[in-house]
Amino acid sequence: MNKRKIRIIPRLEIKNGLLVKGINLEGLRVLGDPLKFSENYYNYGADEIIYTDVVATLYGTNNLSKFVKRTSEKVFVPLTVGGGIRSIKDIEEMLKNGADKVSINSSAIDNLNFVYEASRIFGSSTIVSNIECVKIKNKYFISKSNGRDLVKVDPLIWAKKLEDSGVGEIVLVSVNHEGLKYGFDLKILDKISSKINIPVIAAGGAGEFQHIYDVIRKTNISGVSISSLFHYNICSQFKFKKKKIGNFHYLEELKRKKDDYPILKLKKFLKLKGIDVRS
Amino acid sequence: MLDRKIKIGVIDLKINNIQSIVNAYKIIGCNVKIINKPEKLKSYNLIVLPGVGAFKNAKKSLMSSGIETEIKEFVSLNQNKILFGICLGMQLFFEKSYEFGEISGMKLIKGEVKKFNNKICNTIPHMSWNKISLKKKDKKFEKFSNKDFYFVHSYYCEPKDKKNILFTTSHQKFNFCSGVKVNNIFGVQFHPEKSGKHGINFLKSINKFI
Amino acid sequence: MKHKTLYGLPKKIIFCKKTLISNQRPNSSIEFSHKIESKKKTLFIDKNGISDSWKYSRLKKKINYEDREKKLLNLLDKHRGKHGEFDCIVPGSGGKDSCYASDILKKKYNMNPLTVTWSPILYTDYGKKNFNNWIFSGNLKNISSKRDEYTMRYLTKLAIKNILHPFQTFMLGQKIFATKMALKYNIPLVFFGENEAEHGNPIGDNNISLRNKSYFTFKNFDKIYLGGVNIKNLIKDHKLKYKDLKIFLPPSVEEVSKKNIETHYLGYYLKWIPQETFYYSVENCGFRPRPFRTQGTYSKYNSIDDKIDDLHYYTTYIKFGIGRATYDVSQEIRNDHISADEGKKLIKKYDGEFPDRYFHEVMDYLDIGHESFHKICDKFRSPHIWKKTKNGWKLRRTANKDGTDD
Repeated sequence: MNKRKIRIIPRLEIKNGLLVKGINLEGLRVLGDPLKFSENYYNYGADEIIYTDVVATLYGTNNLSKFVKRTSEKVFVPLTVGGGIRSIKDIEEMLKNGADKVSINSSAIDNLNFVYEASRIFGSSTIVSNIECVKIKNKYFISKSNGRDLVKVDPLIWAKKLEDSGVGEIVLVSVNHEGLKYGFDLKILDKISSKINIPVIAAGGAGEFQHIYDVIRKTNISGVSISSLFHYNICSQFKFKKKKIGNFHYLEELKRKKDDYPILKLKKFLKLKGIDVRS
Repeated sequence: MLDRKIKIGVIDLKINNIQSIVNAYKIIGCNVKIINKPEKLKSYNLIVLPGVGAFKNAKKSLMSSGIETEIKEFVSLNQNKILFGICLGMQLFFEKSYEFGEISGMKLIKGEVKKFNNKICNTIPHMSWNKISLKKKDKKFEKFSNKDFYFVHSYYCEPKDKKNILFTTSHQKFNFCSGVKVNNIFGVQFHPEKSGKHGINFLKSINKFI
Repeated sequence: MKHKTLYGLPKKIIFCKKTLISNQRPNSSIEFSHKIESKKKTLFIDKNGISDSWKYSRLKKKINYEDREKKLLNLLDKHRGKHGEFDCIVPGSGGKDSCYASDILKKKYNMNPLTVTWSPILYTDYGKKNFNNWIFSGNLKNISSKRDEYTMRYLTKLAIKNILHPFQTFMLGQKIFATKMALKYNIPLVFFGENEAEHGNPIGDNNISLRNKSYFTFKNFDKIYLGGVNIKNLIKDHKLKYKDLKIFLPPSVEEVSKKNIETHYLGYYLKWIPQETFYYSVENCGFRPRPFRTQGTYSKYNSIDDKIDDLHYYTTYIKFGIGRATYDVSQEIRNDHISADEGKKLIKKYDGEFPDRYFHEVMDYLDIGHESFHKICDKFRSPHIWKKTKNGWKLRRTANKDGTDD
């Protein structure tokens, strides 16, 4: 096994300035203020953070720049921002506000050349692509617009095209596993991480520490992107201010739990099992 | 000099994120200014050349804006004026880079910038937390030896004179130079402003040379 | 300019300022008296542009659910364990709402529900999986309807040709099958989910939990129409057999009253949040959304088990100018999940999108030519809603004010 240092990366899905969490990328249950979450993750062990604007392609907007700016004032680990990145100007705007990498999906599917151009201007390591992998009857496809629009292309073929176009890193989201906490889609992660040379980050399905250990051991991924497992663990720690619009039901019914440090605990667990992670 | 008295200029080549390095110095308490057009740099104590992106574009921006000249003048002033390059910034100090052809750098340090060999390292770019190893004895940097810092690059620097190497790092068993010091020029391949609390402390250590 | 209106719909098209749905929206009708001449009762929008369904959603916020739950507990206490193996009936097909209803009755309130399913006409794969998961993961017993397939197809085809309502046979069954099973197995308590009245039926309907009896019983056999054709003619002219038609017919009022079958909405007693029933059903009943967006809207988890469902919403778009996205949007707005602005964008993007994914399969199943279907649709476009332009049919008025007459 290639002894590589694994990155633990909390992923925050954001809509209208609120942290939301769906299942299979569907449903927009609000879990709180994303800034509070990312600060907490930064202070307690996160190696990087990913932000995704989940309705950007749906509404043709992208609204994260102000939020990215505020984050960069408090969080000093790499920040990847995605959702509605459509032009060179959009990328500039994100980087100017404090993002280190931008993640592109729908726009890349519409026009692969955009990614090629972007990597020439900003460098490959700034350009990430998140591949939304959808499994239907044992066949794999990709999707656009946060799991909404199916595209009949094989994910491995697509990943190779992205690599050739200069993308520096892939975040592979298994839509079918996402939000369910039953484990990752090891099959597709192994397939893709073993056949391309750029780093692959596994996303979608983490429910227990063991799942994370399994995906590290059984595939060639460089990092793990986690949402539900972390967010649900710490969401009761923060006071939230209810806005007019949003699905706040879960937060309204939530009972305060003891403070927890899931990333620190995860890293301890992995270290004991021989996985190299940043202290 | 006390952190809060240090005047820092961060060069903005307009091709990357400088917000984080500015915010990092703000947290430390320094006086930070963003430099995006040529000006005399005499009044600054520390000039930071950050960078992520393509070597070619960065060099072009440096030259066409006239800032390259100002930086060279700043460096020649005296030992208490520090020039600090981060990632691409450090690479720009060298003689040339092989990114997308062959492009000359600022020629402040002898040596070249090369791409990782994909026969040795099969994951390129090197995008990962990784340990740095101190190669020059210095109390100010001892505590960072063997600690993790954040790297993101496909090219590495090869200084001609090995005595200038401050840190090395290993990527898939390949050892490369991750930090240099040549008189009052410092360069690091990693991103201290993205390396959490260690990174912030590292910046403080550089300040101690002023 | 005056245009002819079909179905007795209001001449002037008004959109609710809050929920974006128009006054052309029909209220739940008595399906088995539905013929082409039927005048539809529609959503009421007042002179300030506010609809009944919006008003109800505001009233709903003030409901004391503690009191309501007490009422539910009293009701359940009367029936729990009292009717043999099962003490209540939950109709459904394994969608998020029936999953939630049966699970909460069983696990939280210790009831023993019998699930009854009026099966989809053409199951989708994931729909069938959800159904199986519902039954197996909940350890539930289920009765699924068996219908003569020829009759089912025939009636569906008639329904399309005569009233452009491909879903009529399904909706009929959905409404009456539960009652019939209650009668057959002597289980006098039936629980539906959300109260239909929420969607704009008269506000009066909402304040009682019992389902309006006339929706699912009949007094006069002669007044029954299926597929737009009187039942006598179905037998005489269309040569359908009474024994095959019987399953589509509602029970009589006498039968229902004699056995005192009570039908309640769980949504009256419990705070019903559609999106949260999605999460609940995934986490507890093995429900999974569609792996891709439903055509005609943005969502992935509403009514996904029947291939004909997508077409049904397309026909409401043809007849009333209201597409599936509008229905989904108005529900989310009423629940304060999205803003009217977001709703407008979604309607603009998806409303009226033609559901081609299953279209050919459905048309072949029903033996209707693809082109014929479109021609039928055109006959049902009310001139006061649609205008024929050189670029095809366009709506005269839309929620985004980008119709031809806006």
